[in-house]
Amino acid sequence: MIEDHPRVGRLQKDAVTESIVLNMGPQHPSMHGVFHMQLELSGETILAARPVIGYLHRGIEKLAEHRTYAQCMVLVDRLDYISQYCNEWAYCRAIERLARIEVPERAEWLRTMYAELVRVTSHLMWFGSVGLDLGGWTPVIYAFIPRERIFDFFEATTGSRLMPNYLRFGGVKEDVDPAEMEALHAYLAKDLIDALDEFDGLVTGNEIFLSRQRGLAPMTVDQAHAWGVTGPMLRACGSTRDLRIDTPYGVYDRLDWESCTDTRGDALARYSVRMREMRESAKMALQCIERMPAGEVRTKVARVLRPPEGEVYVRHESTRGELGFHIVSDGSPKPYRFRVRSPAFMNVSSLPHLCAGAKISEFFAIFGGIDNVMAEIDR
Amino acid sequence: MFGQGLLKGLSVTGRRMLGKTECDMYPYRKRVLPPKSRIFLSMRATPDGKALCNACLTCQQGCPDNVIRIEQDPEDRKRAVSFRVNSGRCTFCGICEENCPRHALTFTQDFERATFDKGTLTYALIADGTATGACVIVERTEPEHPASAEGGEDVG
Amino acid sequence: MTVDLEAVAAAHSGRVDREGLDPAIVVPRETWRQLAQALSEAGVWFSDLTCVDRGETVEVVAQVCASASEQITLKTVLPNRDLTVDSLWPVWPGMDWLEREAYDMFGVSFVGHPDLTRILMFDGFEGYPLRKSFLLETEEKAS
Repeated sequence: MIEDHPRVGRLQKDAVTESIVLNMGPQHPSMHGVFHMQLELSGETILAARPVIGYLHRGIEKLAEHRTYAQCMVLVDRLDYISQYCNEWAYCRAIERLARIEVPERAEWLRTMYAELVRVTSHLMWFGSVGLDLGGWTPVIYAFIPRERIFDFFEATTGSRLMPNYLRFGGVKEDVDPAEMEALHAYLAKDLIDALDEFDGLVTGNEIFLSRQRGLAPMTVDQAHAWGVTGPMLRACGSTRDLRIDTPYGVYDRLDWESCTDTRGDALARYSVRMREMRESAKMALQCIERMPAGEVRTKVARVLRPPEGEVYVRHESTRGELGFHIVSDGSPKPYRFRVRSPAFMNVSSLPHLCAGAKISEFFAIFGGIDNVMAEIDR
Repeated sequence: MFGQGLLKGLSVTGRRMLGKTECDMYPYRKRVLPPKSRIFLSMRATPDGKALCNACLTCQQGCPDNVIRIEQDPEDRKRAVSFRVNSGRCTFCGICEENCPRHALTFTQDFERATFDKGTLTYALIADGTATGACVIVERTEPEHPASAEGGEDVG
Repeated sequence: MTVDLEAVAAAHSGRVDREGLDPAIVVPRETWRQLAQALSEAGVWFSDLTCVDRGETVEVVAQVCASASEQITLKTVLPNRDLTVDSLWPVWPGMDWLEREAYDMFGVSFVGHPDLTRILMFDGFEGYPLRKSFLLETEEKAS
């Protein structure tokens, strides 16, 4: 009898079941950057989770206090480096509101167009990484083809693929070459839609994907409000909150579009909302190109801006949710306090609630749906 | 029917496999970057080594990361004796180029500047009062556009 | 939905400051949580919480939304020698990380927070980086 063996017998007699703590990250390839998660596991079930962040903390809020307002734009680019134009726009809106700067009509159209284009590229990045999180290599490679094409447009018009430093207080840096705009229009109208259809065929109908996402980590609207979750994650629970509609800025109130919502609130709903948002954003960018009026793109603003004393808080619908800039000015050329309310920071703080009780393989499916960028969380 | 979605996905990858490749054959074929790309900070200079820079220090003071170091000629303050760029610190934001009143600074699209030695990341555009080989040669000494005297003062 | 700011402020021995771009309710720290509780029951949700170092005092600033487009600032002023205030975590659970960040960066203690530890800086870091008294390396050299 095997129980009679001295070692085996003792193991069986003294064996106790206890939970283990697993450190996932910060260098785990599925963690979307340097994100560290402490998971308490019972077998494969997650009992409790504690995110540990700060590995990418660069002190941007402190650095900004030592730079002029125009120089801060460089830092703002580096907050959420895959939706740069949204960050720049939010920051510009804060300063323009504080210093009462008017923005020319054409610049508003250009800003809206760039913000919606970058929403497409950001969601494409997310689409690719969701595939990676679930163990599929194909989507990320496919997603980068349209993403690179849009980046080509960014590079040709603003000078940089990722860190454009393109928006200025009172407008944008320079006007866009009409030939580039025409080529982009042709691309958005046909090829991008074809690519999105291709992605739908590749992933959206895939039975394995559906069974892994459906009903996973459900969240209600009340929970989302309590945890501070915003953006596509909130709209996937059935809320219609979208700052582009609620507090209209740019030219969103003049475009023909609708905010994408879903009522299921699970991981699949988050996927579906973002997939539809890409089409809406492409539609909006197309309308911007077609209906953009001619004119000035930049008002004259002092090179070293000194906004009047005061403080301002501006909320902006970034690709991940509500991006807030809280700027306190003391009348000097440098901000007295530069605060960023980052959407991904709040969304990730809901992760312990979402993944309690899930299996460890489901954790990545949940995590992928949050669409976080560590640079913005850690600042 | 279960498997329909999987088959559809396979047909997508199958079509891509037979279609054209989306690849930059980089070392064999170099990519031509658009002229606005900010890659390598350079300066316009005439063939006889005269740089367009007049040492106004606008770029040095406006730079967010202290990349540029200019040494003025003590006798003629409108002439730079040396103009050094520490590209290891540079974030390629383009503020220097945008603010240059004489349009002397420019970005070239030469992206093959990787190096094994950190020291070589700092290079000179003007040394001993003459433009170095890192400058772009132009025929005209005067700026193409009249200096844009935008309102505002320099950084204190 | 609109909130009668004057009534809410008066009920919590505070005042309404309309000089800025958005209206602000300034209350003493004793009624900080009660104010949030009352607003929360009126359907107000939160957006942000942070601090501003004013030298002698530290302001705790919360941004809340009464409706999708109506934004209110809540403020309380803490003296530098005693930076404690009631936590808003029991009212809005999402304040968890925001208060941890404010503690990490400014040293404000939120009484009643379940897990007030550093979040962006590492454990064992000394000082509070966003206070004006915390100098950057370059400033230390200059002074």
